Amino acid sequence: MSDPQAPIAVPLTKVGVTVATAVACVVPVPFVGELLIGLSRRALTARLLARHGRTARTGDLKPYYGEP
Amino acid sequence: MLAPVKKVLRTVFVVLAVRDVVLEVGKTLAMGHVLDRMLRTGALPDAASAAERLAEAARLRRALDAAYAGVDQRLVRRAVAAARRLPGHVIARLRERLTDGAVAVVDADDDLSSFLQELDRRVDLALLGRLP
Repeated sequence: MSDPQAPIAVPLTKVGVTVATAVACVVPVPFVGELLIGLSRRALTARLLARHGRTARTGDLKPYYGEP
Repeated sequence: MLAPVKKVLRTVFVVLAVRDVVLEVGKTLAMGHVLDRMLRTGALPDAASAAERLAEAARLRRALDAAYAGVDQRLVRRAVAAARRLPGHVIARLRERLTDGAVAVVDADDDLSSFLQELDRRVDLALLGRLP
């Protein structure tokens, strides 16, 4: 059980993708911003799966990272 | 005559655009944090079938959406502001050790930690169906 008072560590993966999302939000072309946000979230999911040693296809988690 | 109206509209659009960026960035951060935590606890195992993973992913997303919708927006704004400061820490850390960037971590400051802790609490409640 982790100490609830301990500072939370943020993996670099999240920081990079978060920056990519911020950039995608200000793309002034219709649909391209949404597409880029979707791609960055997909990349985040893929990296987290790999980081935790999962071999499942990233596409299996599309309901999680995709837009409903 | 139109100048004051244009000025007001421009301000409104800028405020809405900034709010949109903050909410999207906050959601991406939340998405990564929740998935990271769930994978660490053994969710979405390789042994499960693709259909089971799809169903669990959809359940997680519903919980995340419900949890994120109720998180205080001031907390999200402060967390995103804190996240903006992270790349500086990242660069400093990378200079120290040129290791695999995906594994290296940086400590979140208080605002970001509060947001992520509040999110964890709400996601757990949403998964149990007890989110008010």
